[in-house]
Amino acid sequence: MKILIAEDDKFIREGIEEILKSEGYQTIVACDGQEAINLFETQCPDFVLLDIMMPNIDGYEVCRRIRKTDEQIPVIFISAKSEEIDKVIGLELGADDFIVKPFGTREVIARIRAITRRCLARAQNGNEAPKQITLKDLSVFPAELRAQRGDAIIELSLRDINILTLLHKMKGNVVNRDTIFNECWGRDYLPNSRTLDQHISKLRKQIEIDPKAPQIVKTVHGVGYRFDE
Amino acid sequence: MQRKIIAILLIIVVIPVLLLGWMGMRMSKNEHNAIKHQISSLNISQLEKVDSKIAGYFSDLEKKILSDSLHISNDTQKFATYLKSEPLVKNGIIFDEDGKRIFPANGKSLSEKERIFIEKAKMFREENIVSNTTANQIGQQSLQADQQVQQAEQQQSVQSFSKSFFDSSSISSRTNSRTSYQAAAYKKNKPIKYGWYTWFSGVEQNHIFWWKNNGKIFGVELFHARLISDIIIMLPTASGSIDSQIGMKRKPLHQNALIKLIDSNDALIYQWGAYIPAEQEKHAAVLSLSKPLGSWKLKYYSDKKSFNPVFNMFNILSTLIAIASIFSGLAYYLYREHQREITLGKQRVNFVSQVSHELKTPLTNIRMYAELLENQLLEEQLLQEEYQEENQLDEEPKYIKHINIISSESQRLSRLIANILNFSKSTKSGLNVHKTQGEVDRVISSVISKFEPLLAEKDFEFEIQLNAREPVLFDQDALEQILNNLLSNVEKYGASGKFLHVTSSQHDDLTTITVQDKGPGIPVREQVKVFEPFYRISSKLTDGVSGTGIGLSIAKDLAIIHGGSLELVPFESGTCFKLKIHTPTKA
Repeated sequence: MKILIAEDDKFIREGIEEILKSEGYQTIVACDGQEAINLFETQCPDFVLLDIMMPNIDGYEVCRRIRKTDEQIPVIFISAKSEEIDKVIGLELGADDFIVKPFGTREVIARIRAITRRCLARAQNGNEAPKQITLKDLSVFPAELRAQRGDAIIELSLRDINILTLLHKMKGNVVNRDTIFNECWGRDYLPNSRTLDQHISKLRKQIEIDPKAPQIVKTVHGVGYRFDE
Repeated sequence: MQRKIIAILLIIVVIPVLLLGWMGMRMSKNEHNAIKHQISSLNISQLEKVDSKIAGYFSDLEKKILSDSLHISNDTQKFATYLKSEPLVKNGIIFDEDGKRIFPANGKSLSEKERIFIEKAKMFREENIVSNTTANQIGQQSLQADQQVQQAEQQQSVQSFSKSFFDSSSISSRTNSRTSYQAAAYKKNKPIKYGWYTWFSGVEQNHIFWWKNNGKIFGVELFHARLISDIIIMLPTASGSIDSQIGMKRKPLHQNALIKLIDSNDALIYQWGAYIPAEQEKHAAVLSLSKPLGSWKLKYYSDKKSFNPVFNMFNILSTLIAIASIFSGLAYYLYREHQREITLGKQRVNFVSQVSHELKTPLTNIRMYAELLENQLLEEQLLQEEYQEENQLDEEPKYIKHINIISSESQRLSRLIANILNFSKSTKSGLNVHKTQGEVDRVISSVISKFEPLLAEKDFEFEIQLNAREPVLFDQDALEQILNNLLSNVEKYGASGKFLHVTSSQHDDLTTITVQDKGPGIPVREQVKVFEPFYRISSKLTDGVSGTGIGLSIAKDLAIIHGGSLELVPFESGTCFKLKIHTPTKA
């Protein structure tokens, strides 16, 4: 999933980019309004994160122009402007959400996931992708970015879903590290074994009953990971 | 707002000016009436003085004739001589007790003058005989007049019968000092009945003074022209100067006044004063003269311009304009001061907003990167867990602790800025809520999760009972800020209790959330004040604890505009806040 981030502050832009990438999204970044419009027209992102106060063209105008060509694409405003009128203007222009600075990573993640669920739900209506996959006693709902064990609901990232979907698809077989990187990080990503290990450890902590003795994501030393039914 | 202030200032100016104007007009009107009344009284008193002077003249004349009568009443010859010698007397007549004329003697040849007089006096004789008894009564009553004023009224009723014949009514009906004196003076010698008889012969007015003595009635006709002449001499000269020849104090009349002496035929007899009235001008005052000239009138004319209410109106208007100017100046000054305060207030609010916004960008970075670093380090930690276990390293790496501090402090700063912004917003334009559909419990969990590391570090126990899962309409930011303030207070003030209990429930369109700790609690006398802006409890509870004192105030305001409330509920130990917000399921 590709997200366009338009933000003039370099550090905020890079920080958001890092958060989104860790969640499993592809990102394209713009440091002003004009660049955001250009990237939107050329890169066709799945949704857009827009700052309001940007050089050249402000976020409101960018949103207005995006809405002229695409009424469906989700747009989230990120701004230090927290007055009600600012939010109302943004939402009136067709924005789907409004994140006020200073924000926490959890808040951004929660809102991005909410938007992703809507996108996936819409996309799922058009294809025959499974609504639910089962990994032992864990039910995973890819379009909802959730898994369930008993009554416990587990919130998952897009990358987690992709990894679990891939393992489920290749169940009984070893999925090597490169495949996982290519499928879940993107082909442009420079592989770093530590990154994958860290992510798998985090995922295990979320979905495994005992992360130290994993039953769903098993390690195949020196090769990759495997899911056995 | 601006219009409202201008309207208030206008009211401050207009109402007092109108009120003062109304009072001024009323006072002026009253004053005008009072002056008018005073002037009218003065005019009447001027006329009464003239009347008194004329009455005095007749009184003196009566005295003189009555004095003379003592010598002439018993001798017809003396009476005849008296008539010839007295210049004021024109003719004389005597009737006996039976009403028979004894002078001029019956049968005696009458001169032309006597004949005309007797002819003119025929009515006097007839009426005098007919009303002989009445005349007696009148005389007697007139003697008692100085003793009993009430009796004068009875006399007046009797005289109403005879007043057309006897001007004695001037004696009896007017119970004034002159009449009384006259009656008393002659009472010592013998009862004397006397009076005036005035009648018209054509347009000529005739005056007979009569008296009774030993049953006889004596009458003397006076020269009308001489009487008028004497009266005119007594009055001020036409120009109002003092007549030194007579030696009378003839006070000059006001130069803007004129007095006219009018006879029975409405003919002008005499006038004095410098004022020249218009042709149809009505007199300012009128007074009928005392008897025997009862049918004569004194009319007073004065220049109305000398008493001009426009002058008063000018005074009132100029005073009102002066007062209005003062009030307007004052109102303008207040308005300017108010505008200056508003401008300064706006500048302050804008400054706070601007600074808050400027703080947000670096704060976003601090917070975001601290959290990213925290996540990264946690992931690193996960990988090292096995290593730590193997090496018996239970202690959490210090950098995790440090990054937690940065993260929690940046969150605290975020809450502080949010509070300041909301407070400046509430003073500038008021707070608003923007409701969207969501799950209340999700927001509560999110807020608790933010505080969890901080509270866990202080060994808090958690008891969370959330039962508000239905999707409802509410302002998520507002709820988050309310809960942030409540949990921040728990962290700051309730740490000693080491316990946090949060519940949520939904009934109809109302969601209730309670946040309770087991800290030292809030004293009863402070429980209302804690919701006031900038109020901080001055006790051990707040010593060494930072805060602005606006958190609970904002939380309560937000709860109220969300159609609910925030209150402290009595609890056995610690503090328990109950938050209620209106959360409809449909818009």
